[in-house]
Formats: sequence, C-alpha cells, structure tokens
Amino acid sequence: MRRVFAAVISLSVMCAATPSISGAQGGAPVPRPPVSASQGTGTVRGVVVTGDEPQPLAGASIRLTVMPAVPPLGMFQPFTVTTTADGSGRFEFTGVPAGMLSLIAEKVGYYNLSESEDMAAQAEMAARWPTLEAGATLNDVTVRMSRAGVIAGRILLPSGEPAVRMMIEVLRYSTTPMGRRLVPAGRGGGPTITDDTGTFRAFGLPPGDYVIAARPSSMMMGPPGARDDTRDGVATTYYPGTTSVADAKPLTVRSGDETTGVVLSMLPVALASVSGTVRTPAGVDPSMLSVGISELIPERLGTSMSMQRVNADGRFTVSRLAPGRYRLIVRDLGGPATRHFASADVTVTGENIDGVRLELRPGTTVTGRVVTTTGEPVAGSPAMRVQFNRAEADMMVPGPLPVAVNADGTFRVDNVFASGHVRLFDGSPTGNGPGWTFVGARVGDRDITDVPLELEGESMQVTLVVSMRPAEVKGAVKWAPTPGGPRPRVVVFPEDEARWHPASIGVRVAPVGEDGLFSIRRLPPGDRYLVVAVERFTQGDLWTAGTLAALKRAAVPLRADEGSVVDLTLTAIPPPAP
Amino acid sequence: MTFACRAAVSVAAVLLTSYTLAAQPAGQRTPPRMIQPGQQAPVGTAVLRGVVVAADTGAPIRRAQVRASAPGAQETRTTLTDEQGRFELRELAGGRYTITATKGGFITLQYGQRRPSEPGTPVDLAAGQTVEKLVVGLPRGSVITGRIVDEFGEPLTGAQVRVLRYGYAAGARRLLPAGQSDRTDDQGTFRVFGLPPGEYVVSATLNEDRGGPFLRARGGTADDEPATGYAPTYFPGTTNAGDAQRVTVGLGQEVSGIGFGLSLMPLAKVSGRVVGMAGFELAGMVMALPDDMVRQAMSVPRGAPVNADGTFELRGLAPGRYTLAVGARGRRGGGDEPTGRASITVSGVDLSGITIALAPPAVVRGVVVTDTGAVGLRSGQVRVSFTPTQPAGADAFRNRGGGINGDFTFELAGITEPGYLRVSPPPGWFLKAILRDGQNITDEPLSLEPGAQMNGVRVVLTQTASGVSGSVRDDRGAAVLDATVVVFPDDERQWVFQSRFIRTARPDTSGRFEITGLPAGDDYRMVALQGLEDGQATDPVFLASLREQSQRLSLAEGETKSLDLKLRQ
Repeated sequence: MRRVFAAVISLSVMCAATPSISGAQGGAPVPRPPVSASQGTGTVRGVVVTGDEPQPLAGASIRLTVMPAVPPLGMFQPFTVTTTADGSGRFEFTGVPAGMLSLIAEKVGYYNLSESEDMAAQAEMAARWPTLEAGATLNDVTVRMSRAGVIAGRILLPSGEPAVRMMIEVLRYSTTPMGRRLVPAGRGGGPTITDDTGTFRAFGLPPGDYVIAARPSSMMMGPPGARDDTRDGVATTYYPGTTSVADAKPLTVRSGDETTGVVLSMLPVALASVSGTVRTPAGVDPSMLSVGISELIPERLGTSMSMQRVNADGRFTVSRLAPGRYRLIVRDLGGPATRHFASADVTVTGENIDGVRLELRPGTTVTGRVVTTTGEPVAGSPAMRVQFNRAEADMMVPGPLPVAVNADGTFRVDNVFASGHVRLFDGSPTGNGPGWTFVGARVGDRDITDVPLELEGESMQVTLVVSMRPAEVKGAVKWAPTPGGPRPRVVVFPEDEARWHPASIGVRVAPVGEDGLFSIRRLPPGDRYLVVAVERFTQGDLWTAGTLAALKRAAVPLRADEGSVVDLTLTAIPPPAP
Repeated sequence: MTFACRAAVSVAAVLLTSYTLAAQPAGQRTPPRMIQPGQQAPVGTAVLRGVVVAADTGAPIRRAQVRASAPGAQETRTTLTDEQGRFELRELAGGRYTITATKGGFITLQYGQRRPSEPGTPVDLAAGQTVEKLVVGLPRGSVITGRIVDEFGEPLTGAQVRVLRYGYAAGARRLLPAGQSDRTDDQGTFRVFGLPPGEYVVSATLNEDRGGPFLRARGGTADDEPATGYAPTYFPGTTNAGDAQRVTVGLGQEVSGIGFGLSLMPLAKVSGRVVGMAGFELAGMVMALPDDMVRQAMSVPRGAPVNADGTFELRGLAPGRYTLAVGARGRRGGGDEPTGRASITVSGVDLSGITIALAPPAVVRGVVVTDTGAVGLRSGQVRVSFTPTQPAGADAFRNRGGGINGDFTFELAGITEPGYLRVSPPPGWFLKAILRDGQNITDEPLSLEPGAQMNGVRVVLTQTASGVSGSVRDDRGAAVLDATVVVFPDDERQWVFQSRFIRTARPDTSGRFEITGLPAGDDYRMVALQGLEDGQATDPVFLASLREQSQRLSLAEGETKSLDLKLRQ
C-alpha cells in the first residue's frame, strides 16, 4: 500500500504542485467509508525480467493497482490484486477495470526499476503508466527488476564491546521540495537493529550512495519523576565515525553489491539532561502533558523524537542528550486534539541545563467562508477540507486535523499553533474537488494565497476562494527525442518571485505524452504567468536555487483567464545549468 | 581480586543476600510520599550503591543500565555502571525500590530475581539511609538462531519469528511470547537473543497485510483458484502448537540450525450479513480476531468493509477459530454505538451466510467517593475500567474505560460481554467497596443485557486498609529471603484473574515482607514457598494444592497483622 500511496502522492504532486508538508497527524476523520473499486473485464499479461539482456525472473510476486481516470469523490480504495509469476516469469490478471495501471513486483534480493527514493523520479515513472481501456487486453507488459544490494557489518561501543540493540539508519540524499535532504531509504521490512553481537544487515537496497548511522533506540516515556543520571554514553554516530552529519562518508552500492564487514565504532559523548517547568493555564493538569524532544539537524528531513512526561508540579526532565541543538515541544495528552502548545529550542553542550521555562498557550481559532471568485457563497461538503501546510521548521508542531467545510460554506479550525499556508483540498489525487479549484486565500483585503498565514491572537477570519471555471493550458511541445530518454516537461509559474516556493499553487509541472501533447488543467486564473517546456526536467529540479530565475529568461508570458483554454506550441529548451 | 574473593562475590550473586545498612535500623517504616499538585518534589538524601556482575563468573559488567524505581515515592532513576561495574544513585527519596539491571547479551533481572518469571526482592530505603553492596547478578543470555524457508526451500524474508514458552497468564497455563521477536533477513535468517535458559517453542509467520484486504493468488486471478497463504508455523514445521518440538537452551548457550519451512495453507473466504439497528448507520469494518492468543500476537487481524446493504466478504483467513467483530457508527458518536460478534471456525473451506446481529452495548455510570470525605485525591490518578471475564480475541487484555472525569464521575461505555469493574487508586488509597442501590457489588461479575444502563454506581475509596507483614523463617528459625508469601481467599469464587484477595510478596533486604491494601476478611489463607512463577498464584489448580499447607488468616477492618511464617517445602 505504501507504494500505491507513493504513486498517489506523486500524481497529486504532478497535477497540483502543492506538496503537502503537514507532517504526521492523528488522521483526518473520514466522513464516509472508502469506496471499493469494482472489478472490470480487462486482461493484463506480462513478464518479469531482470538484468541487461534481459532475462525472465521466476517467482516474483506482482501487485497490480488500477487508478481510475476520474477518481470518485472523497477517499477511495483503488482496485488491487496480487499474483505470483511462474517459472518463466509470466503472469496474468483477469477482471481488471479500466484505468491507469501500476505494476510493482517483489522478490527477495531485487528491487523494481520503477522504484526510486526520489519523489520527483517517482512522479516521472507514474507518468509512464500504461492505460487499459474497458474490456481490453494488454499483452507483454514488462516489469523490470534489478538486483538489490546489501550493507552489513558490526557496530561497537567505545570499549570495543558489541553495541547491542542499536538502531541502524540507512539514509540517502533525496531532492525534496525543501531542497536536498537526507531521508531514510524506504526499504520496508521494519527497522534494522543490531543483535547481541552488534551485527546488522540492511538489504533490498537499490544502487546509490548511503549514509549509515547508528544510534540508541528512542527512549520510552518514563513515569512521572523519572530521571536518568547517565553522564556519558553514546549517541548517533555516522559512518565512518563522526557525530556530525556533514562529515559522514556515504557507502556506494552498485546493483547487487553486498558490502559486508562495515565496522562502525560509536563515539563517546557527554550526555546531559535538560530540566525546566511548564506553566499551564488554569484547568490544565500538568501531569497530562508530555515533552517531546527532537534534534534539529538541517541536513536531515526530520529526526526521531523522544518523549517524557511532565510531573504534577509542572517540572520535567529530559535525560541522555548528546551535544546538539534540540526542539522541545509540550503537548497535552488528553483527548484527540491538542488544545495547548509550547515550544522552545535549546542547545546542549554536555552540561546539565535547568530552568527552561515553557508557557503553554492555547492555539488560534481560524474561522471563515469559502466563496467563488465573484464572491458568491459556495456550498461545502465533507470532501471539501481546510488544511494548513506548515513549513519544514514547524513540522513537529502538532497540526490541526483537517476540517470539513459546512454546507453553508463556513468553516472553523481550532487549535492552530503554527503559521502555514491555508489550503482547501479533498483527498483525491488532484487535490481539488469536482467542479471547484482552490485559487486563493485572504485575510481581510490581504492576499495570503502563497504567503504563510501569520497567527494573530486567539481568533482570525480567513476567506478562501475557489473558481468554478478554472483555466486550462494545453498544446504541443517540440523537442529532439532520444531513444528511451525521458520526455520534456512543461512548467507554468507566476512572474511574481514571492510566489516561487513549494507550497505555491501557481507553480505547475506537467508531463508531455508520447504524442508530444500536454495539458495543465485546473490552473488558478491569473494574468501574469510564465510558461516554458524543458528537456530532462523533473519536479525536484524546480526548487534548486536559481532554476526558476533561469527558466524565467526563456519563458513566454501566459495569461490564463477564468474559464479560458489556452492552446500553445512550445519548443523545449535544455535544462538550466546547475 | 583473589580467587576466594571472586568466588565469594559469585556466591553472593547467586544467593542475593549481601547488603549493609547504615544509619537507621530495620523496622522503621517510611510511608509512601504523595506529591500534591503545585508542590515541588523534595530532594531526597538516600543513596543506593552496588555492583552488577555476570552471574556465572562474578566478573563485573561495565556500562550496564541500572534502574531503581519506587512508584510510591514517584522516583524512577537510571544510571550506568562504571568500568568496575559499580553504580551509585544519590539524592533518592525514601521508599520501597525495585532495582533492575540491563546489559545487551545478558538477561535483564531485578535485584533478588533468579529467573525473569519470579518476583524480585524490593529494597526498603528509609529517608536519608544509605544501602550499599547490592549485588545484581545477570546470567548470560542464550540465543536461538536458524533459517526460515518457503515451500520451495527458498529463504523467506520478513517472516516474524517469535520464541514462546509455557507460562501462567490470565489465570491459565498458556504459550506466551518470551523475549524479543525477530524478522528474517534476505537470507531467511533470524536470531533471537537474551533468552533465559529453558524450553521454548519457536514460531514463525508471514504477514502479507500492508493495509488492505489484499489477496495472494497463485498463478491466476482472485476468483479462479482457492487462495493460499502462510499460516503461523512452529518448529520443526507444524501448524499445531501442541505438536511443536521444544527447543531446550542452556544458560548462555547458542542453539543454531533451528530452521523450518512455512507451509502454505488454503485461505478461506467468509461472507455474510450484518443485521443492523435502526438509527445507526452501518459502517466500518468486520474484523476477524483469532481466538488463539499466540496467533493474535503474531498477525494483523484481517478486516473487510461492511457494504451499505450489510453484506461483507472477508478473504484470506487461515484455518482456526475467530471472533468476528463489527461496530456501527452513530450520529451522535458518543460511545453508544452497537456492536456485534460472532464465533466462527475456519477449516480451509469458504464459509457463507454468516449473520452478525448488532446489539447496543451496555453502559455503567457512577461516581468515585472516599469513605471519610478526605481531600487530597486527584481525579487524574484514579482509573476505573471494565475487564471482560472471557477475553476473546484481541480484547484479551483490553479494559474498557480508564480515567474518570474531573468531578469524579465516570462512564464506561461500549460494554459488550460479562466482566468485572476494576479500580486502580493511586498509592496510599485502596478500594473499599463498589455499591449500587445499597448492594455491595465489589467483586461481583457483571453480566449486562445489551443496551442496559447501569447508573448510580458508587466506588468508595479509603486510605485505611488491612494488611499483613512479617518475616519468613526456616526450620531453624533463621530468616529466609528467597521466598514468596501468597495470601489468597478460601472462597474459590474469588480465585479469578486480578482478584483483590490474591496477593504475593517477597521479603526485602531486611527480611521483611509487606502486603498492604487487602480487603478485610476472616477467611484468608497464607503460605510461604519458593520457586513461585509469575501468574501462578491465580491458577485455581495451584491454589487448591496450596490449601492444605496454608495457615488461616483473618484481618479486621484497618488491621495490619505482623507475624512470622514458616517456609513450606
């Protein structure tokens, strides 16, 4: 399901260019049970192959997922079925409904060539899914697998003893909307933990460069009053033996490589504790609070969080912290929604810190209405939800759960603690509901469409604007194709540089089909757009510094009025030099 | 250290008797300390010192984690042993401490434990006291390792391997997980370490669920052929736990070559209808919960959505007994949603026509009060819950309910089977009685009709309770530290899991045991014995065997008796 989800995400990234950075939450309340896709009458046959020649690969299990061309309203489960290829690598599915097909194969020691750590490349792959018409038969679909690599070795304590039950993090650099970040290499199979001999084995790795880190498993929440007096120990150590991410040396894995004998000696560090007090408003019981602490490492996208309870007198102590910069987050444990919040950043240098003061505050309540571009009220529905996309720096702040817009077009979001971009979305891959496209947000007269909503006081009013007649841009692209090479992409972006960021709804990247045609639908109306077609370009390239500025020089102006369809012919330009 | 010295240390580790007291003599009690809200916890001045050693050689274990915990004093302190295996914890409040030592490759034990399944010895620390020379001996852990393969002999990756042993839980002898589990790697290898010596059953299963009712077909599509999948399998390759071959592991031993194959089993389809109730929207999923506790722990329960007309179809069920459970969604969403259950037995053939009728759950409402109207009790510290008598499927240890409201009222909603009301007061407080309509229903099993509303329940807490303390003596009158005292009621009807009348305790470092919070009663029985395992005290067969050797005990309201017990052989 993870891969389907990744595919769904990549589709939404492709069409809406508004990656959701809202972080992990408790899960939005689902208004209806998911609709299961019904069976169809099509047939899909194919073969799993591997290697350069290529050769058939026996015994892989294949999962077929069909994404309908027009997704139904709200959350839904796409048609999915799994089968196993025979001795000649052949497989067959019958009863398949029409739609875009995704085939993922699984076999120990191999990985799909369509899998990649890069969100951008996954979107690229999703663009190449074959389409099945109703009742049709597709023969000779080829699923390519390649041998996966292994990194194995031993982790030692400074004394030379084996480091038992250490968590091994296998990371690789990936281009995310926030830039180049170290992210966990998604391999499935659960976390890798060292055994009693300190041995670990990370398998199923596609070729690439990997940073290996060993760290103690996260502290479990102790009872109130728990204190750890340990003053020296081990902390996250990166191969070949540094506590600094910047000095880590990646290990290169080529197809099918088994790199064993990796030895990493964890470095001793001075451990310190951070204590302080949480001041609570009347009526909040300190013993229902927890303090979460997470290290702030700019190169990494998120790090693990340890939690500790707050005592009845409001005091807390978090122990066993290695030197570094941390963020403390206080939240209340009672109930599903976090009603109060406090946060502080602290730098640990090996000495105990006391006297950290955190003041728990209620969040802001954001109310408002949804209207059309001409000011008409819009009827809300459970599928129309208000969401806040927080900045990367605020990813650990508890987010409000997405809230549905009422039938009269009003909405109310409680417990908003961090500023973020306000959005309307509906859970389908395009993010926009049937008939409506989110095009803007206002506080009073101030346009906050692509600017984070700054929280002011206990309550705020926001107006969200949708267009019932969004614009469409389509046409043809001329380029010099290379055999097997990727097709160009079309980029639409606003002229206004203040709107050049990953959460902007005015930035769109669309693939070009085999026939050289492209289509960008549901574009928010605007008269100051720029459009350009670029060779060998992916979503991830968008946010590399200087890219949009370079594209601006080669782009042509575009005016997209409400309800209009603009037809263009573009000539693809080479990608901007890094 | 000389040989004699080392031998003495290892003997001491095994017998666990070495201690030194400074300052106050034994016998002065320190009552549990309650922290009031807003009050700063006073910094204690007591000290605990000791050493962690390897139980077999007596060699010190460096960098072992030592945790001293006294819930009554709200103290939990952790530290590491130094290069000589020594530890020191300072600034402790007085209290009754459990000391636990952990080190990778060794078995985690408490001070006073010889085996993980036995209780440890609490260390009684008075305010300002220093207790030194506590020796915690850790035995080396044993290892079981091997390879799991599929029906073709190919390595099976991601299989979850669990090592089980027979033990007592929920009042019966069952197969329980022992130690950590492991997932097989790309070579099909697993390694379970840190095990105490003993006899084990090794199990493996492969979960294919990744979030959805997926189906694994063989060479065809979903509907062509019967589906097959892997069911939980036990060494040397049977799907019946009773036929499993036990693996015997000695102290610190590595047993390798425990390999076996998972067998493919036919997976059945179970379909039927959920019969709804007016006013409630059929929604959610039908979940198939395996009745076998071991299988529950090892697999993700399968579920299927309930269609608008109430029909459902569960796929991919391995043979075994299940409880099908389903809930509905109410407009008010207030915990009064009806639920339905049905028991089925799957044996590889598809089942159809299963009807699950929804019935509204029962609700229990009441208030928590104190017998004297004393203040100082915080609602956040009291828990009232409902425990089913016959744990079924995944609900085995799930209690309904939990906290009480700020005004001390509580509501336990969603009760669907018979069970008991369980109350957890904070330290220093005890349950006196549960009353309703003037009737004392404290230890009565509750069997509520669907939709029943039981209101006006009063849970009475008190700070006075009865208790018994004293020491255990051998034939020569010497104090015995390695013993367990069991107090149990003569009335067999109270020999149930979590009974308030069954308690065990071990003597502390000064030779004194203490059991507090016993309800008053005049038909208790009491016995001291060795080698009692966790949970054995709730086994009715075991208690019946103790009756003859036990002596009578009666406790009046608020009375604490002090006596010496002779150790029974």
